[in-house]
Formats: sequence, C-alpha cells, structure tokens
Amino acid sequence: MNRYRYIIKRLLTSIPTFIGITILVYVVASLAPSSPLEILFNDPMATQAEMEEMSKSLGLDQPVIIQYLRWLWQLLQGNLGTSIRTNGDVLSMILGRIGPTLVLTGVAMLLTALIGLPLGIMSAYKPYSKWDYISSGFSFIGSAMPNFFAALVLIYLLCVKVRLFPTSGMYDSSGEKTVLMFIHHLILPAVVLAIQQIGSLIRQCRGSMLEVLQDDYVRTARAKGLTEMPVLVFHALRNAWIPLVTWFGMQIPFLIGGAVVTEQIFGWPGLGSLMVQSINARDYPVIMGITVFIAVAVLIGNLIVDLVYGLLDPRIRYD
Amino acid sequence: MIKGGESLNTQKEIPANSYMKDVCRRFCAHKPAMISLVVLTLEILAVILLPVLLHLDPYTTDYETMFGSAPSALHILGTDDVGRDIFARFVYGGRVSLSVGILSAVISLAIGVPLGVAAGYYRGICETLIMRCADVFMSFPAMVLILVLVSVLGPSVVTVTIVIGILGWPKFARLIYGNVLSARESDYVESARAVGTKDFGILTRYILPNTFAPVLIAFTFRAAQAIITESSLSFLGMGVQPPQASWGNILYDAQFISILSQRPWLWIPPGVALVVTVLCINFLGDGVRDALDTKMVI
Repeated sequence: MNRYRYIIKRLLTSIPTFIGITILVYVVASLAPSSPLEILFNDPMATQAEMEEMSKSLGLDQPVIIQYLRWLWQLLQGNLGTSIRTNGDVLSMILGRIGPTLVLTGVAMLLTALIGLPLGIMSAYKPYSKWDYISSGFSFIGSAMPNFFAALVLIYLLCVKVRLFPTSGMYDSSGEKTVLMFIHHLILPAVVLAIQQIGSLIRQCRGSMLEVLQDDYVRTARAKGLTEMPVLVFHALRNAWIPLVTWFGMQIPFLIGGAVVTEQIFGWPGLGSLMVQSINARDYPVIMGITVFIAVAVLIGNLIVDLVYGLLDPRIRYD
Repeated sequence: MIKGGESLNTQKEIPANSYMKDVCRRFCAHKPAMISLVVLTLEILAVILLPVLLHLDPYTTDYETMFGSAPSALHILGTDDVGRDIFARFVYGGRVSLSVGILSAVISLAIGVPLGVAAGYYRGICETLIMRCADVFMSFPAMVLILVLVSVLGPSVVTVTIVIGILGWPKFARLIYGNVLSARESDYVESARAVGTKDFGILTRYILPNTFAPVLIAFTFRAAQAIITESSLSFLGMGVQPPQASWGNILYDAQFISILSQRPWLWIPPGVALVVTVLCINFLGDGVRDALDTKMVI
C-alpha cells in the first residue's frame, strides 16, 4: 500500500472515532441533573405554556437520537451554540482562548525536548554514572510531582521569597503589552507544565537510546573515526526517534490536561481556565464545545504523529 | 515425572528454586522497591492507626486556640481558618487520598480486564467495538473528561473514585488485549484446545495467569496516577469536598497567596506526602516489573 492510500485509510478510520467522541460528550452532558431546558430558561417568570413552546422550538420534545443528530449537524457546521454565562458564541470564545494555550503547551513541549533529550542521552551514554543518577533521580521525582504542587513550590520560592516572577496573568496591570513582559509571565507556567513531561521523557529517552547504542552501526560509526557527538546525534538518536515520537504523540492529552490545572493556578487566559470557569458556572454549551474541540485536537495530533513516522523512517511499510 | 529420575541425583545439584522464590529474591534485591514498600506500609499503618491512637479530630473547631494558628504543642501543624487541627486533617486526608487511589485502580482493572480479554480472545465484532471505544476514551485528556463528569454528577469522594475508575479502563483493556492476542496463538493454548478444554477453562487456566505480571505492574502505576488525579481535582475544588479532608483539598487553601507565603506548614506536608507516596508506588511498580521479568538475570 502506498503512502497516499495509507493517509486516506487513516483519515477514514478517524471518522468512527470522531462520532464516538461526539456521542460520549452528548451522553455525559445529558447526565446533568438539570435538563437543558431548565438551564436555558432559568427564568421563574416563564409559564408552563411558554416553556413548552420553547422546548418545541428547540426540538427538546423530539427523541434523544434526533436531538443528538441535530446537535451533531450544527457541530459539523461549526455552530457550537451560545454560552449561558456570557451569551457569546462558543466557537469564537474557544478560538479567542486557543492562542495562549497553544503558546503555553508549545513552549512547555519545547522545554521538555530541550532539557529531557540531552539528559536522557547523557544517562544512556554513561549508565550508572553520577550524571545518570542525577538525571534519573530528577526523572523519578519529576514524574511523581503533581503539577499544582510544583506550581505552589515555585510560586513560594520564586514569587514570594525572591520576587523574580509574577504570579499570574499574561501581562501586568500597567496596560502595556510587550513581548518581554509576555515571556516573563510565561516562564513559570511553562516550566511547571514541563516538569512532569521532562521526568517522563528522560526515562523514555534513556531506555530507547540504551537499546540503540549497542547496535552494530554505532560501533561502525565509531570505528570509522567519528567523534562521539555525531555518533550520538546522527547515528544513535536518529534511530531512537521512533519510540520518542510515539511518546510525544501520547503526551498530547496529558499536556492539555496539565494545562487545565496550570492555567487555573497562574490565571493564564487559555482554554483550560475557560474550562474551569465554565464548569464552575455549569455553562454546558461551553463545556461541551471545549471537550469536543480538545478531543478532535488530540485526534488530529495522533494522526500527524502517525504520518510523521513515515517521514522519519522510510523503511516503515504501510500495510 | 521422569521415570528413573534417581540417576539425576548423581549429577551436580541444581538449586530447586520455585518461580515465586525467584521473584521474591529479585524483589528483595531491588533496594528502592524495598524501601518504598516499607515507607508505604508505614504510611498505611499511620493513616489507619494514628486517628485511633491519638484521638485525632479533623472536623471540630477548637475555640481555645486562635484560628489559623501556627504550630504548637497542642496542634503540631497549627489550625486552619475555621480552627480545625491541620495535623488531624492531614492524616484523615491521607486515608481519603490513598483509598481513592487504590479503589479507583481496582475499578479500572475490573472493567478493563474482562473487556480486553473479550476483545483479544473472541476477536471479530467484539474486538472492533471494544477497541474503537478504547480509542474514543483515549482521545480525551483524562483530566478534562473527569472534570466534566464530576461536575455533572456532583463532586464527592464516591463520584471521584467511580469516575477516575471508570475512565481508567482503556489502559488495562489495551494491555490485556495485546497479551491475550499473542497468548491465544501459542502452542500451549493450541494443545489445550486440542484436548478439548472449553473456552472458559483456556481463559482462566492458560491465558489469564500469563497476563498477571503486566496487569499487576499497570495496577501500581494506575493507582499512582489516580492519586495525582484525585488531588488535582480536589485542588481545583472539584474533588473531595470540605469538611471531608484530602491532601488535594488541604492544598486548595494554598491558592491564596497569604496562606501560601505565611503558613507553609499548612501546605508543605500534604504536598510532600503526595510526592513521596506516588514516588514509592512507582518504585514499587518498577521493583515488581524487574522481579517478574524472568529473562532478567541479576
């Protein structure tokens, strides 16, 4: 099977998953004790007749399956409904918040790669050395650290004891919005979000590098007189990539989950804090919208990871 | 049994270690795992026994002491804003956090294992349905779906445990599925089938015992993950609700900068306890994995 047929097949198999996602979100939202009707018309003045008329116009008198299909149809057209809390359009609320979340998670992922990969490679290069113990120790503690506790500790040390960083928001209250200020506000939440990931990446990277470093082509590369750096980067790491890319793909949901907590602590105006606000306000259209949106983002992320395999390793056959 | 096996006795004696003995020996040789086992045992004993031994009371206000007081002989971790003893809340919180972690991992296991076995052994429509469902569940960041479910059902210890438990099933199902898939093609299963063993017998006698090691390891990691999830939920105010204490909801108070900066004794102990617990469970899982992996020689 060639690559294009694989891509098409992979896209087609995502469709049932997408439908499953929408069903799950719909079922979860319909578990809510208060019916959508009560939420929408929380007006004590509304009479029984008015309620019935409204319910009819919204299609709430229809069977559940019809209601679901209607909702799905609207969803496919990009209509996620209106927020109960702000009366705003849900899709534009989400799009307004997606930027900060993408920057935060992107920078956290970058930090993870920049710190985790070298430490993992070092550990595998000299196993059971002092370096290995230090980075493995960091890895264990990092992955056992809930990110809200990491946030509290860092805020306590770096914002309260030493006033190095601001505790919340994207810009300070002066009204000015400079790039430098943005970066200053970004560092702490990004580090907090990265800590658990770094811990996990060091382990993963150490494992897959250890395996590769024993292979014949690494010995060949050394034998032909290459210095250690090119051997590690171009020969070993190049072949250790596949499990690492899989790892990166699997981290997407964890990263977004972590962003919910981290954004809430640092008052970072992204999707995560919108999610928590909406949950506190029981704003179901927004909650449903964000959940579907995130699940689809994860689905697309996994699709991209699957396609990147082929680019990284041309030997991979699609069948 | 080998007929005429007596002649073997003349050969050099091979230590007749049973599999379980080997496993125990390897586990005992894994230092971090042994230390973790001791720490976790002490921790579990502490949360069970301390409240009885010290007559701890996490709910009653002490009007004699100032609210929000610093550590003293009477209240070794001080009191909170409504005058409750923080040490008592810390110990009771440990009870909640540990039991939510373990119970929800049990729930995930109880749902995931049968589904994984069904998908891997019976294949066909069963396989497609179950594994597609697992894909759907895995597309959601667990934290997001759990937050939504808990908010819909109303936060409490019971809902948090059940929701974290239910949403953990795909991990187990996938793991078991892979194992069963390879075991069902093996020679010993084929021979069992050839002598007329029924499906149920094959599953319980030949296939499930083979999945024991990976499931046990997955269980430990799942319990650690569940403890982190519960504490994160409680920290956001969406988990265990006061007056009931959990390590996560004690930390909730530290979101206020005044408490964070002026009363570190309130939030550091539960936070450190969380990290230590999760760390120990992870080490324990590692130790079990190394011990059960028979190919590994020390």
